[in-house]
Amino acid sequence: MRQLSLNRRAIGIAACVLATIAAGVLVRARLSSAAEGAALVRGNAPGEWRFWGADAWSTRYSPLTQIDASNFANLQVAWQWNASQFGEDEYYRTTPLYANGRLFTVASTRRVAAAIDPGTGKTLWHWGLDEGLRWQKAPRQFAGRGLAYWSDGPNERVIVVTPGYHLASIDAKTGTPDPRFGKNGVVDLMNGLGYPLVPWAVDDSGPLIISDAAPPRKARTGEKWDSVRKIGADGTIGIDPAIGQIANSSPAIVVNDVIIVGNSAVHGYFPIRTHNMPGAIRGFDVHTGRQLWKFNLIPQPGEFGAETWTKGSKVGSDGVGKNDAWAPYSADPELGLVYIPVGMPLMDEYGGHRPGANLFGTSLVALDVKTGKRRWHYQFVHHDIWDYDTPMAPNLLDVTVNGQRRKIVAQTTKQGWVYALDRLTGEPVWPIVETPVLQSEVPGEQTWPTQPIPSRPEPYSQQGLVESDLIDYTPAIKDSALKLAKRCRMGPYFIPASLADGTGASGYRCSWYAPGASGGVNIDGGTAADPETGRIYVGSQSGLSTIQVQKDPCSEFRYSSPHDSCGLIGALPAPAGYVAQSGSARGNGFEGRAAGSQIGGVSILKPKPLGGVTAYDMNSGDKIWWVPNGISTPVATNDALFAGVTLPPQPGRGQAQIITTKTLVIYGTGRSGGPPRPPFHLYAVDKATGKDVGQVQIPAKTTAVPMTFMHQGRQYIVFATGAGANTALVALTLPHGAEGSGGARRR
Amino acid sequence: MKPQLLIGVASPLILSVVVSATACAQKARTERTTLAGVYSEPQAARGQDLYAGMCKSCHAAATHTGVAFEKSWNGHPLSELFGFISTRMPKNEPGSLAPEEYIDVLAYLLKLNQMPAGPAELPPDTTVLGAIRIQTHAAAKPPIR
Ligand code: HEC
Repeated sequence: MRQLSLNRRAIGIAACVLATIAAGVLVRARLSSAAEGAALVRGNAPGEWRFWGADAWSTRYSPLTQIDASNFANLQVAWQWNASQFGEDEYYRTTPLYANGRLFTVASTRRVAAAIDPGTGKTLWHWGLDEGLRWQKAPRQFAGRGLAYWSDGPNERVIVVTPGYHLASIDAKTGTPDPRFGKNGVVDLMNGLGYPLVPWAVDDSGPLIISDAAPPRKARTGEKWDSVRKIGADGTIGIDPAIGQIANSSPAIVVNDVIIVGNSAVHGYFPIRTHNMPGAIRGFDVHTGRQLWKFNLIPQPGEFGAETWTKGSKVGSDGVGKNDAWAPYSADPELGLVYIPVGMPLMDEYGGHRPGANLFGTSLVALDVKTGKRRWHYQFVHHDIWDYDTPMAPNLLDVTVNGQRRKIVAQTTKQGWVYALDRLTGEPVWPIVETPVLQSEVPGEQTWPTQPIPSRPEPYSQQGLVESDLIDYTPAIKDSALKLAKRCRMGPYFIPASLADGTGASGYRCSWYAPGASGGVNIDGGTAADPETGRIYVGSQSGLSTIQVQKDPCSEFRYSSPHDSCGLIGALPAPAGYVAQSGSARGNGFEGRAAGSQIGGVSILKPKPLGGVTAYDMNSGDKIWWVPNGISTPVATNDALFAGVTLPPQPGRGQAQIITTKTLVIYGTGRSGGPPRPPFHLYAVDKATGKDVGQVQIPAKTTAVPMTFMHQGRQYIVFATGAGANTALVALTLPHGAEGSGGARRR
Repeated sequence: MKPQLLIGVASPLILSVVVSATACAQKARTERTTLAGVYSEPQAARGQDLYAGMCKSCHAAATHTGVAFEKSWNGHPLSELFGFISTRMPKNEPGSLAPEEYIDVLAYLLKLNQMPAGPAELPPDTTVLGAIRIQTHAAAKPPIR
């Protein structure tokens, strides 16, 4: 968008703040709120959607009843809002908010914030920030998952965290930055972390390359901007890039007038440097933008948990980095606690540079909203070497367990388990047992000896690979499947990566990897929680891939999954005798990957009711029902091995994107679920039974969790779709006259 | 029937045997390359959207174009690149697209490398893909982002 085209000369933030009010389209504040006069429930006005996860508890629940089983299939597209008008994106991963008669969203790689008239889809205002090199080298250059909303009655604010890591407070009515907040409405989040800010420069005009290649650097004294080659120093100030990179992809959460903001980091797939910036959570005063507190997600020397980094945890040390809490957060405003799902430490598949349990990596941390002090924490994976970042806002629920009323928090994870914890203490609701696990054969890797395994509820995704998981339709099929399975290291769960060159003690070149790096649950899917029944509905995938590590010749890491960083800006020089591999010889060939789990196109895994949508009763820990994600795929093969065998269908792919209402569980299939070609659908099932109650054709697959709200007597469902230059919000509602009487009913 | 997605470890070997058994002169006359318009425009357009949604988060277009692409893939059969992306990509969830989606993405990768479109779609069929050789333009440049 034009307003945002970079002005390399004047990068001062004040000059960069752009606000536009679409002429003449001012919504009267009290226009149509479903919430008029209604008290907030879990921080949300009933019938609205004020938080990424609907309310502070991240329930994704709405008490609305206008759309129900009888009319779901009649839903029609009310409007589509073109998000690409603000530029391209990756896939559009935003869940909008609805508050007090307006819809709010973000759009494009610049993360432009916008308000939309919910009845017509017209843009009311938009706002964006020109962030110079901070945007160009941002590790998360996309619209992000959304924004936060705050109101004290007369005042309403939309809180945006930008790709270049600024925090902005925008007047929700006008789109104007709040002049009392930070500097002209903006706080520089790179400030206040305790690192020096320096002028930046770049040596190329492209983005950061996975993970930390082609980074920006500290500018030389007097360095200027070369506007022809688009390199040099443009006046951007930021944290010294030698310390690492910092990013943001999820909205902040506002609890009791405190904005709680964390960060994401570089991807952990193929870092070149063995240190990077650690994650931190901070609280800011919603009125002024003043930083109130900071909590280190890698405890620094002297802090609680520092001893879980046996080689030391000091920023800048070998092996120290990440533990970033990149998913959205949940909170209990009454308890004054915010629940932070934390990602893993630096380098996804190899932990040899960071021996120890690595707190607060792959944990849930409960912080006091007022002080930022840790109330409790629970680590799901000790010394994570599986990329099992905690990927999703946890769900808060009040349930009755063994006759006792309990306040719990349920965290669904990539690991395929839901961990149920007491919300006040972090104690497991049902036993979670530290269980011995397989140990790594990779030099330098000190696998943690045990992992906590939940005794209930049962998992929603395939766990590891053992003999009884294999197809056994005939003895010959069973034999072939077992032979294939034995090519990679097997085990019940948490199988450490094997050395790709087969030089480990067992000689394996691969290990089975289930759930894989994308879960289980990941950010695309996740969980809706039903406050009426204490049930949760989990959208997950279930699959089987493999994991292996080898030396990247131009990275500081001793091992990583097969990769070659040589030649990238910022990589180490290629060692003597280095020869680049080409074609399928790259890495270790591809027989050990997903390919290796099929015979003639048939997976060696028995089809099971895993992935898809799983309902659990969190009062009892029982699994209640399961449905596939939209469609089951018929399986057919020419392979003679399967002659005469009727093959059961495979449960659907991808991660269902779920919300729940008074009666329904509504979901889209997500970008990698459902059929590969149109028509695409939004699905509804009876939330009590999982029984299909209808589907409605939609213009494109959902790419983020939908949301729903009541506006001027009509219930809408809105969701993001698309990628690249074809991104949109789609709004569905019932045809005029078909709203029925349900419109007025609210809990 | 679902098209067969995967080529086994042995396939490239078999292929090379086939190729070497063919007279060179004949090969030059009959072998199709990616410069012969092997995918269609609408297919590449679908692939572009899929790429933006499923691949771009980890890849600058430069990874798949110009010298980088040439070094890795020039002269290899197209089935090999199809095998690579459909079994190893996306890196964090290999195999998570349908064959029809991978082949669309592959069409887009060819377009990114300025290989011409033609009338017909590229099918997700390793036999067909095994008979098409990847040939890059000498001077293919990465597109402007
Ligand atoms: C999560 C990150 C990630 C995603 C998503 C991803 N890739 Fe990759 N890709 C990588 C990495 C890292 C490498 C290099 C490692 C390797 O060669 O195995 C790579 C390598 C490749 C290569 C080989 C590069 C070459 O030399 O030509 C191709 C082609 C490729 N990816 C295509 C794709 C396609 C197509 C998609 C989407 C379907 C995709 N990737 C999604 C991370 C990713």
